[in-house]
Amino acid sequence: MSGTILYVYGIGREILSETLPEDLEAIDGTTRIDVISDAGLSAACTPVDEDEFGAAAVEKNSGNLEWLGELGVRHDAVVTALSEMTTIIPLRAFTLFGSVERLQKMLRRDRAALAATLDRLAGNEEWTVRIELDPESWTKAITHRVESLRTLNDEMESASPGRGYLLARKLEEARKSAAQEAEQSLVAELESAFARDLGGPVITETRQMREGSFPQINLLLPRGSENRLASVVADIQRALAGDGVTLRMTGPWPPYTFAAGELDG
Amino acid sequence: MDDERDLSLLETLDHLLDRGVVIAGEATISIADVDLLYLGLNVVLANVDALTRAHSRHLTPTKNERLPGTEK
Repeated sequence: MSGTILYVYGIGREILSETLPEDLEAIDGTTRIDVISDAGLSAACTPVDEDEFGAAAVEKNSGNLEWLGELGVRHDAVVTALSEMTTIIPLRAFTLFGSVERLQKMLRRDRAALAATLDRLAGNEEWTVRIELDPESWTKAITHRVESLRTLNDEMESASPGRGYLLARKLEEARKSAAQEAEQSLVAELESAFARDLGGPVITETRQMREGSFPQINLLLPRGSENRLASVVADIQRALAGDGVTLRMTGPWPPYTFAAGELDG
Repeated sequence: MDDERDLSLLETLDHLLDRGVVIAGEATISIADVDLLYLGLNVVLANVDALTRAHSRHLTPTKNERLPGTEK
């Protein structure tokens, strides 16, 4: 059975719908963005047709980048506009509630945790540093980063041609098994460097967490930290020169990563 | 440049959809359906990483993208 459900963008203490840009596109292409309030909190949302945004639609369009892209741009535009007005907890795309009553019930039930999160996010924005690895250079660099490989490499270089060949094959195998360990160690090293040089919360996503995509480090930083971050990134990048590691920073983002899990349960 | 626009869009989706969809209260969709969405997106994102790597030396940073050491 289809019906109307609520697509929720974000939660704040005081969201005023009348101060949103009039032509701001809602998730469904209309300009209707409602504010539902309870327990001193407000949620910005749009009533949508379950046929278009419910489970079946999501499943049907899961690989449709055009559909996802259009909705993603609208969602992010609304969240960004809200963030410019006030501190909000930005919600991930497709955060849906079955009714106004259910949304209000959640605001009442979780008001303490939501208020604490709003305090934590106030004045901050999210930056992401992706760690891109060039396979060839990084594989060579691993040899120098992992002690057992370094020893094997030294041994190979001073060995006779026959033994050297066998050691080269052994080194190749050892490199493969050490690759994951070396990447994890690099990511941990970078995480510590960012935490030390910038302070503030850090959330790291490993390659395993990202289903095979490059690992990345998310940082919650006070607004206006872009040049400070760029300088730290450049320093770290210089120190890794020749290792095949490229750091790519993106942002500022509404703090999606640091608000994640807020409504779980 | 189309590549740049696509990358920017995918960066946005990466943030919006990463770790799947928040299921709130008595929401009307189930986690299983959401997982499908997440997995589908990751396939796309994995390809984008390869694209990013291939073009990393030629890309002009877009609104949300900067290479280290490039000041505004």
